[in-house]
Amino acid sequence: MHQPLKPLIFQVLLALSEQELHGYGIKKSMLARSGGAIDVEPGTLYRLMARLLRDGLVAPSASRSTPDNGDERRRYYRITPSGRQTLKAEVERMAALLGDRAVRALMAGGRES
Amino acid sequence: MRVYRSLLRLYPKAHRDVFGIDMLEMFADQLKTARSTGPAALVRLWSRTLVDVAVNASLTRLPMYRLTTSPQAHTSGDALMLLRQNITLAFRSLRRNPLFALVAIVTIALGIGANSAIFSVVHGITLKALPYEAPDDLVFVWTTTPETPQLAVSEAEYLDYRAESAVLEDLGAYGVRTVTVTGGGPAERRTGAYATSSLFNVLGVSAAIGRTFSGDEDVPGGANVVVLSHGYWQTRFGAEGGLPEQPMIIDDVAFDVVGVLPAGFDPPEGSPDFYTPAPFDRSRITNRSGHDLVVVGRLGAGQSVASAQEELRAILPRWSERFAGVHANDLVAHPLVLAPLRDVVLGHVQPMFWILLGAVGLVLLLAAANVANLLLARGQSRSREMTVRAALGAGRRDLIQLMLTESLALATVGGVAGLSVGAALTSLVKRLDPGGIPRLGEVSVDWTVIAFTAVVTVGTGLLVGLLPALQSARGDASAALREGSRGGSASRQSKRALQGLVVAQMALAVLLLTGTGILVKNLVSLQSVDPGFSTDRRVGFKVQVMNQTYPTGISKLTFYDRLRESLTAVPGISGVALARALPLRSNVGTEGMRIEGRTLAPDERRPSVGFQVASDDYFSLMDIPVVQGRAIERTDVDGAPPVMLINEAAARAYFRDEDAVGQRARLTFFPDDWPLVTIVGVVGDVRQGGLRAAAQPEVYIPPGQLPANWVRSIMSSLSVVLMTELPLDVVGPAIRGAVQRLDAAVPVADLGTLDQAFADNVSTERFMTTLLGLFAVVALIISAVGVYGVMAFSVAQQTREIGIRLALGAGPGSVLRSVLRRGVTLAGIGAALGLAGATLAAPVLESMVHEVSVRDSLVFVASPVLLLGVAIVASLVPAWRAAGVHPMETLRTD
Repeated sequence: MHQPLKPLIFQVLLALSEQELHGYGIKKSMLARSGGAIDVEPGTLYRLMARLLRDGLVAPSASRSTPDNGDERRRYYRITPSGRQTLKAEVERMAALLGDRAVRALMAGGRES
Repeated sequence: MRVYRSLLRLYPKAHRDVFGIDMLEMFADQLKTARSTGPAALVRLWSRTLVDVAVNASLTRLPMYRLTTSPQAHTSGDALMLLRQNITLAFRSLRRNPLFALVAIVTIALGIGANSAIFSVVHGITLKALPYEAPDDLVFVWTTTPETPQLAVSEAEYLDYRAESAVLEDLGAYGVRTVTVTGGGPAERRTGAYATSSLFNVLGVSAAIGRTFSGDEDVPGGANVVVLSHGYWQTRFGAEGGLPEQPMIIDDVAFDVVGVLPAGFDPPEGSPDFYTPAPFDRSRITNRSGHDLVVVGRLGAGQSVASAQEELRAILPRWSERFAGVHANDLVAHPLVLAPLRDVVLGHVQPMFWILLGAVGLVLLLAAANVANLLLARGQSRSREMTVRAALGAGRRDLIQLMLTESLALATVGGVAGLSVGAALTSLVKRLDPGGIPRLGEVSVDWTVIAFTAVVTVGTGLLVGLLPALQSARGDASAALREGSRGGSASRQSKRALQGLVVAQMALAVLLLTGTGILVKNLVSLQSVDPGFSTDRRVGFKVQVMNQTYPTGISKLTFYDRLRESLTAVPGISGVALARALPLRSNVGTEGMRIEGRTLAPDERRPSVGFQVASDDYFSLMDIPVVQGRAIERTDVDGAPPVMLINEAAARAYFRDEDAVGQRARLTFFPDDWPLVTIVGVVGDVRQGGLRAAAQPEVYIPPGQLPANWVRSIMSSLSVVLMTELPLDVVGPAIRGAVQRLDAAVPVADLGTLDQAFADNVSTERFMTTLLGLFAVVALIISAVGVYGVMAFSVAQQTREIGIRLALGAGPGSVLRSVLRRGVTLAGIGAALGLAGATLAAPVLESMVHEVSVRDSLVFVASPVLLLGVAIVASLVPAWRAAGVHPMETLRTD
């Protein structure tokens, strides 16, 4: 079994798995998905992007426009097949965890309280 | 926006090039949102952004965020960041193994501490021993004779050389003598110098307060002025209110105090308390003897020591022509010699320093070898970690860097700790002060020492880390992975490296141990040297009587007689005698001797003897045996037939085939009308000048039978020796009281037991032996730990093999023997190499060792045996563990 992904990396990959996004787009997507709990500044985000690019999990997108924003200067990113595979593995790990007896007991307990 | 743009400059360029625009755009979006929300959101945005930039600009410099991974991309900035990352990793790894880290750090700290201590002493002394302007332009001038290789210069020689030399810009001279200071305080014996005014110019020192001498003061009839040393000014005049107004009375003559020299200044030899002008007058000097000047010259611009020596070679033949016959048969040749002042001042301590530096260097090498051992052994168990790192893409270079950073981190912590160890050791060295080391008291840990320690630390880190780093980087990935969970077993190569280190350690330890052994044996035999007299229960001191109060020989003799009487009356003192100088404390001057009925060939050297004065009772009190004839007696006074004694060395040298007793002779300084003196006895040899030198030929003359012109000067100061059962702190005040009651103006100096004089005589040897002994013990411990570590490691590595052997029926005894044999073999090879090294290095000790051979066979056998013993003990524990291995358990460990 592989190591769990860092939450932020997981969030970035998850955001990109839906559509190609630029930096601010990723941030907005993460904000929305976490209900405002996960907020990143440009420095943190692009540091992660550099790492993901190096590891080949994301790639710069060929297309530079999306239906809602036509700013030509912005670089968009897409998830690569290996990035998707990594994300899938992580999601499966989480799913498997959900099947765990202890986790189920915890969740059941949560409902009771 | 502009602010954010400039903040982006903090990121590495590569990162900025790729993401700069995107980041800027993203920030612009955030800014737009924040502006529309309100001022609070703006403040929040900016504070978050600043933190964000600070954190991420640093983090992006780490290699894992590098956009390109090829080694070519290592720019200097990256390397720095890589270093930072490696340091973090290194400390993390050290924290994970606190015991390993502690052992390694303590070992390094000891090694480095010893080095910085000895360095601070050496550096401090070599630097501070010459507190003069441009000290390397200074030369020291002396004369040389066959008996005394380094003899002081006479007035005539100094004045002639100063007049004739063109290469030397100027020369200065001073002589030192003990004088009595009175006025404005108790009478005290002090060391005063008489110096030329040029001395201060040559040394380049000017007064801190007032002035030094002017050129019209060091002439006959010049003013009576005195310049004080800073220390004496402080002790006698309280260092307040500038120059004292009352004159200082030196030997009953008043001198005006005109200046105080700067603190820390001392002339090249001795440390006089004050300086008076030397009124030299060439026209009044008729002979070329009276060798008591220290002469220093300063080279002219563009001149060298060699050119000064060349000039001297031209001057000297002219002198021997001009002064031919002046010294016939007495001092056949005593040419002037000169050498760089630095060499002369530091010459006698330099060999000692080199030996000590060498010893601590060895200790550090030993320590480094031990830590390298530890790292190597750890590298074995970490080979899996390294393989994983390599498999994950770390290049060999990265791995080596990582390992080196780790060892450097160890060394740095060790170095910092070592600096404190060094400071502690430095004060220990200062406490051990053997005397005769110039300015030891001023030695301290300064910036140069810290810089030295830093360099040594880095060197140690590299030395310690290189071998293990190369070892682990060489690791074959697939092999290490195959070896699996056992943590990798030692490859043959790294085992050899481990063993090589142990052998090297043993060799170094034997080297150090041998050197120390020789010094110990030297000290022991020096301490058992028979000085020719008894030291226990004997107390000695010196007195000086003023010519003004006691102008004649008779009056002086009367004073000494009364002194002996009043001291004998003191309860607890059972005997009192007089001598010119007490043995082991100071030497006596050498004089020529003419023996009746002997003529000398023109080029034959006249017999020369040490000229000692001794009262009756001196020989019985000092336990010096009378070998032949009789001792000096109470009746040998002025008017009685003149007598003298000679020692056995003189009898051997000058009366080989004849009976010395009954012969007659005279010393060359006796006036022409002085009668021949009969030798009435031969006494045992005494090591007058020190334990290290064999006794020289000597004569003893009773104080009452000296020629009038000599009685005045020689009798001005005599040494008193007395026999007492009382301890020094009881008898001391009694002695001072007795002298004071006789004449309050007569000071008591150098009061001490002869036992102490004996101990002081070997203090340099004791100092060296103590320090080297300390280092040798450290070396022994370190190498024992080294052997233990390697043997324990190899036993642990071979647990399974040993288990199999035991399972197959091998007895525990054979396992024990095989482990021991391996340890002893390594130690044996090391010891053999160390002995070879010791044989080669032995001459280094030559200047320190007088009583034993520098290749003493006992020491050369004992030190490797001792080391082998230590190696056996160190191997025993791992051997027992190996023998106790339970076959089944070892096979189950997988």
